Amino acid sequence: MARIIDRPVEVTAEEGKRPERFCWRGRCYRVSRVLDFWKEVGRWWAGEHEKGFLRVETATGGVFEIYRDCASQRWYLYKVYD
Amino acid sequence: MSNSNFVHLHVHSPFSFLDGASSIEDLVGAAAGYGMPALALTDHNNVSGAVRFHRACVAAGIKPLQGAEVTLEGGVHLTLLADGPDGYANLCGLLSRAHLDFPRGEPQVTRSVLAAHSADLLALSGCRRGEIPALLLGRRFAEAEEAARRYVEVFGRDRFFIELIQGLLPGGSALNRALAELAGRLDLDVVATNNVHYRAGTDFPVHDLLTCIRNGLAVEEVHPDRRLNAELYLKSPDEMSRLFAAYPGALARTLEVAERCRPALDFERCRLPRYPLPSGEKAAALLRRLVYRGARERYGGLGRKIEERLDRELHVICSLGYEDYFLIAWDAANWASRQGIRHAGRGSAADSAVAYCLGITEVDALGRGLLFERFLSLERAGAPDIDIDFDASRRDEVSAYVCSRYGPEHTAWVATYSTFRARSAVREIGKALGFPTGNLDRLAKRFPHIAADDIGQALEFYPELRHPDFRRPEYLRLYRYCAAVAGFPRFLGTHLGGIVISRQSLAEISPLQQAAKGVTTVQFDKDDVEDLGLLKFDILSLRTLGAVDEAVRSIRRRDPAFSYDRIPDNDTETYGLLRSAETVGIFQLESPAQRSLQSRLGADNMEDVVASVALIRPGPVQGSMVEPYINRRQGRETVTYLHPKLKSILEKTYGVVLFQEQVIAIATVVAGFTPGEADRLRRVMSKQRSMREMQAIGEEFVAKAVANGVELGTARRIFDSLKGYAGYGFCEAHAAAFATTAYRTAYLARHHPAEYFAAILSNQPMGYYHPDTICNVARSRGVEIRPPDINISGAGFEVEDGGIRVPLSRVRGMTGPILQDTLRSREDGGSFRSFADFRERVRVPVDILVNLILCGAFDSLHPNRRALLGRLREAPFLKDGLFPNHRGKAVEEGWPDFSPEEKRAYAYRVLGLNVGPHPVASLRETLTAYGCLSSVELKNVPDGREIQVAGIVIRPHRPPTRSGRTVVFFSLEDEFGLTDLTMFEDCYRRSGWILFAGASLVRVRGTVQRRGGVAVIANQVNTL
Repeated sequence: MARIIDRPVEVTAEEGKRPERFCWRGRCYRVSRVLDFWKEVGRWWAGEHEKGFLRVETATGGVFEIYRDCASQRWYLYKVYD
Repeated sequence: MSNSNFVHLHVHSPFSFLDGASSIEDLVGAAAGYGMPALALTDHNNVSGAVRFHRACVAAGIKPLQGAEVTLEGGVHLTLLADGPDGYANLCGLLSRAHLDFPRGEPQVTRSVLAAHSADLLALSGCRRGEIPALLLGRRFAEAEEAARRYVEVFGRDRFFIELIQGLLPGGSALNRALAELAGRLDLDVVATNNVHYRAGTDFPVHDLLTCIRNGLAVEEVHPDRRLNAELYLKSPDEMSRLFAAYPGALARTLEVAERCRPALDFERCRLPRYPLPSGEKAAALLRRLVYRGARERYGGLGRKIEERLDRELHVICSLGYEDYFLIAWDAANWASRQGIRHAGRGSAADSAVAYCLGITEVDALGRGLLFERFLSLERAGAPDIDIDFDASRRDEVSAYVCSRYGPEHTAWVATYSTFRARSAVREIGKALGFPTGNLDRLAKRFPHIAADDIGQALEFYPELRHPDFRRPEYLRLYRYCAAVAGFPRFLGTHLGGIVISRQSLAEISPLQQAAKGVTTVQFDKDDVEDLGLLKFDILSLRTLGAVDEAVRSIRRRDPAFSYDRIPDNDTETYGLLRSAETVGIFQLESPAQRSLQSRLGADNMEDVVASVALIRPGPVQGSMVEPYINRRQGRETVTYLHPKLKSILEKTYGVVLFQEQVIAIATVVAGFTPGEADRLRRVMSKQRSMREMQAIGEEFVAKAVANGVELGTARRIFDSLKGYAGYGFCEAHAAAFATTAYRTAYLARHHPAEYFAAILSNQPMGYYHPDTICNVARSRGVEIRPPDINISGAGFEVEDGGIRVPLSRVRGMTGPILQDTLRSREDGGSFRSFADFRERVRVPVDILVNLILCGAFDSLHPNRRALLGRLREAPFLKDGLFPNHRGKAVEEGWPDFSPEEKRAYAYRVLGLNVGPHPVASLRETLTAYGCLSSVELKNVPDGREIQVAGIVIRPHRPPTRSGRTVVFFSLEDEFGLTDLTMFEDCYRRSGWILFAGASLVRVRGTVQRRGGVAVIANQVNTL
């Protein structure tokens, strides 16, 4: 099962490298590995910008999908796998 | 420039039909810009872009790799590349089988066909829809390996590659790992591609819109064909290196593949067809025999002049190797004649006396002094064009004969591409973007027929497009996307009449496929076909010939001796009709400009008709040639010649250069040009080529003329007069061919109006005017137009006691089996005795019954249409606005019938024709109160008088003008006939633009202009 969150999150990452950690609801998660990555353009006709998605596994074994909006460079937590 | 360590081997162009969003030229330009030594083209199941791709690559200095992404049984994809001409022939062969053996539009390559045609082809495992990637994505690893082994069996280990694509899609990296592992296990090479569908990431929206159009979607709708991201662009070698850092061999392998392939298209090979000769016969000898036999029939004997001309033509034809081509054309025309299929050659072929003697054309090239060199000369490259018009209703019989004569392997129809233009782009892209259909319709109808990338200029230029709605940001964005798809092919169609006949099996040159009309086509258009050295034979259809045939049959029912082919060419009444300018319905002479010319030219012989056909063309009109010609013809201007040598050439056109043949003759006689040089001059002028080219040939002309004894100043003036002709040349042979038909149809209209107008009404669509206008003209000649009658009307317009009976087929919905059942029932069981009798004998849907009643088809049995409608128990018509005041109530018998105006309006809605009084007639009182004159009253108004006229707008159009300023020509139709109007730019911009914004009934204030006939210069236009 997965829940869609789609809320901004703080992500720590060196420029051009994969995220190291992200914080959500006051708790921080360390990224242990990237399971997959892809890009989506979304509703380009409505002004949405391209997003770079990552499916990551955290050190605690959780699986999350986070993305970065390519225009604003902001990170979002998109999905949490239960 | 990047290091060229990579070549794109999987690339889609717009010829993937709505699955490629960048032009071939853009793709090739980008690849060359990245320093790539080659580029592949792999469109879906076709090679339609191959010729222009080859040309673009050669121009850019890179190697073209021809291929296709084919669909295999089960819908899986496979990328194929031809390693040279033999591989290309195999690719064409397997694509032909894919198209011809499966339902149209669903091509599939079977495993056996793939195996049979695999030689000289390289195969890549394909995109995610490839068999192996799809199985791996489904975690069916063993089956994927088994599939890979099968491909290796078909192509061999050195010709089958595992294709890696990093499209940044979910699961993409894992898929590539699995593919690479599989390749390792089977000892196969991997190659990297990007499954390119557009040049740059910014082109993605265009590709997504095309995908929506292809699937009939709006952008808000979800569909698996729509791509998740914008990564399928033509990436640079550096970008590909970064994406495939883990697979460096996959990049290097692309160069190896490119090096293994040679250009696949062969432009040098002679593919001219052979005519099937009797045993021991030579084509040249047979041609000579046929020509001389024809000459004896045409001229009643031979003479030195005739023999010299025929021998000269035959020498050129045979020297160039076109004797089989002439025999093929002769055979088709001859077969059509034997079947009674009316035909007439057109175009420059009518410059040939050989073509005339073979019965291909009806123009006596020798008698008219036409120049054969305009058609063919030893110095001219390129195949001659023999175009023959056949009766449209029987043309397909001729094409079927030709296809059977030379065999299905050697004949196919030429393709055409329907491309995005302003109107189609606005409608289709707008629909995908979610614009309301009504808004798009309103917008699209206001666009003239322009290219989709000219919309921006059109918005500035045309007042009817200046509505603020059309400038809102969402519309401006729409126009940008329209411009991006300008000229892209939407689908492959069939040429109107072009058939290729090839000596070599066509399936080795082009994939063959089934067209909607059931014929087989190649995948190339006429230009590509010519580049490939294939011979195109134009078997054109002309509805006028069908109408002529029908009219002649109708006339012969009362006058069995009548012969169309023996119509005298000096009939004074026919020329009188032309001079009266009442030429609506007459072939080539019916447009307002032609009618205006006829009223002033004073035609009294066939040469006037030939000149008429040539004069009303954009060129002569733009070149202001029409007035001098008329003035000289009328003797109001002296006919002079710049040099005595020009007299014999220009005498028949009163010293005006009107025909292309005259340019060639002047160049030959005055400057001593060879026929080839003279034809080059003609082409430079008629194609409006560069000023530099014009100047160079001008200097050559003057120098040679001077050497030929012409004084320098005179030579310059002669060339200047020819230069003034640039761009508006017309082929005399073609004009003469059309003039014959024009004159004879005028004869029919003058002497047999009922038969002629009935025939052209039955052969719609044809000509310049709506059938309603034709009916109006027929009425003005005393021919009554009678409404459909269930017991009299047939399938076509028929003559009945000097009037014309509208057919049942004209009633909306009365087509196909319903029409046939009705006619058969009447033939078998006699006339219908009542409405009830009709319903008992023929099963007709209720909506069509309503239509039959509303147009008066049952009037002879039941004169009260409204009461008859009331008898229908089913009553969908109640919802249709027919009884707006009685919605939902039963219609009772005995009600008063519809008023005459209601009857007229309902009948028009059902028939698209007025069978009663003209609609403007009912407005006449009001129009008179406004001060409007009728078209009849206008005839007596003196020149320069300010007047008002009103009527239905007919065919407003804006031909190009030399000044570039807008001039609009249109007609207004009222109950008495047509009034022709001219509107200049000021009026057009002030109020006249409404003609192009949907106004159909207008009142015009203007000034009478009398020049032969009467016309009106419009000053103000208002809707009524």
